[in-house]
Amino acid sequence: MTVGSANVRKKSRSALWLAIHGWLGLPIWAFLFFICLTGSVATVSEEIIWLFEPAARSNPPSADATRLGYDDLMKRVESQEPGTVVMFITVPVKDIYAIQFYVGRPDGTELTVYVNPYTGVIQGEKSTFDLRELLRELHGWLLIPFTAKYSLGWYIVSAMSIPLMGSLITGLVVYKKFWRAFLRPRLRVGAGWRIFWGDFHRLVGLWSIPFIAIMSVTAMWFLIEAVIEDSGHKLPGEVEHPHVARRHVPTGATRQTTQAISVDQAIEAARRSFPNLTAAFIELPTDAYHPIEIYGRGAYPLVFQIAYVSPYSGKVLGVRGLGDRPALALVTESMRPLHTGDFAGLWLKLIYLFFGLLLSTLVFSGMMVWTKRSVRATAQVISERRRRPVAAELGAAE
Amino acid sequence: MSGPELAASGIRRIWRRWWFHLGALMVILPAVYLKSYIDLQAMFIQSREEGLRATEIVVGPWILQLQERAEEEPFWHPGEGWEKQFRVIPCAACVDRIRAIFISLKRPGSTEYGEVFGGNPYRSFADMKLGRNPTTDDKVWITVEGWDGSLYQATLPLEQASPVTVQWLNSR
Repeated sequence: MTVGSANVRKKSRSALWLAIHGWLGLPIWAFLFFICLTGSVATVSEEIIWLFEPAARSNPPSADATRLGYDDLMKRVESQEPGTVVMFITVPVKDIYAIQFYVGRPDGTELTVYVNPYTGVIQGEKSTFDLRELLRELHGWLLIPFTAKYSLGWYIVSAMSIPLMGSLITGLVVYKKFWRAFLRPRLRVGAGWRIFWGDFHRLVGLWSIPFIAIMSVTAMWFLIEAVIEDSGHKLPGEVEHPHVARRHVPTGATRQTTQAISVDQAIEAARRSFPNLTAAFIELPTDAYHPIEIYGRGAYPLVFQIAYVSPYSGKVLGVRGLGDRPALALVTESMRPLHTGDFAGLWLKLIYLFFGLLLSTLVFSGMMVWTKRSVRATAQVISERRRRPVAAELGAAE
Repeated sequence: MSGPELAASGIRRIWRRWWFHLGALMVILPAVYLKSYIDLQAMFIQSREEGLRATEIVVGPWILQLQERAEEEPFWHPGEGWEKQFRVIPCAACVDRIRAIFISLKRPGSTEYGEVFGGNPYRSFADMKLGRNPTTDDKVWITVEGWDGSLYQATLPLEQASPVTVQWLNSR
């Protein structure tokens, strides 16, 4: 075999990879673009709500105001809305946000109210139009509702991880010695649109490698997760939550008098298992057998440490720390926070937003490159393959 | 080239130029589901709901409204089997004195009373399991425990609790 024919073969193979790279994205580019764009905006939806909804802010009454404990907050909520039952409390990572109480009202309605952490004043109700929810559902499952099974939209969107991952891999294959471009970035402006979009696509793609890897792997997990659960199997490390045994439920007159342990006491109990725990999410029992559940982030912020506390004795009935999970569960439970970037604060969300928008432009520029070049390249590959058998026949005839 | 041929080649040209933008049509899906999304939001966030039918049931000293969505058939819960959702609204004075409410199709065991109602105690939810061989003659058992340690049970025919489930069983 001559060097020349090896080169031709190599060239033809890389042309094939390029064609695959293009075909993975092209037919769905607009949909993929939509998913990337809605996902990017969704990362900062809480911040957008903060901007437009004053009730969602913590609104400290003075510069030196101190935050109230949960027991005080509970009392003040009860005095403003007698009979209201608090079902769970969500404490945003940043203290510029109001605390969210999910409550059940005596008229049977359930809703989230924003509570001022300094005064306990109910500042407002979460509106029916929840931008955060809308963006999440639009991005995650195209608003197609869930039944007992995962939404069809969930499958459609998470299946996009396959072309995304395929594009990443084939992109790295066709981009010869891409690592060199880290040191010598190139973006030629004014040399024609095809050159510009091509340079742009490579440059953005190069710097987005880790982000695309994270997004495609986590999204692929979402697909696998749905398949596992919809086929009636359990996710890795999924366990039954501890319950209060019937014999440990004391008798009393009402729930309020019998469930004597307050939220602050339960957090105190949880801290015996997880020192320095800051509660991020608190679930309160609405029947006799559920414990108080305290969720907080620890040294590894991607998964919650959970303590289950008896509302009668204050005893910790069970915990779920890092060490209580199998290694596989640590990986799979990290997938969602890795995908959304909501575990460290605003700075990480802004990084996610930035790279999310870059990924959207990557999809767009890919389409531009294709329309300006790859259509021709594919036609060439195909026609070459068609010509080859003819050439072989001609050779045989000679 | 004749007229139709010209038109066909025109279509082909447009198709060749634009086909790869057709993925944008996927955005029609969320547009189609926007209405159901808004309704669901209204239901979840404000608990607004239509099409509920209620049956009053007396369990010991308690009076409860057992509710179902009149049109909602049992659904398949992977790993659990067929389930039918009910809500329960205890009488206003009962709420604070009831510590748990359970629902079961067919007579429950003596320590497990079926599925426990959860969520807002003023209007809580449970998914009743239909079990292996549900029949239209089965009874729905409601078990209510008070904080004072008392326990009361009552039954009602499935037909009364959920006509839609009986219809669904008949059609299978």
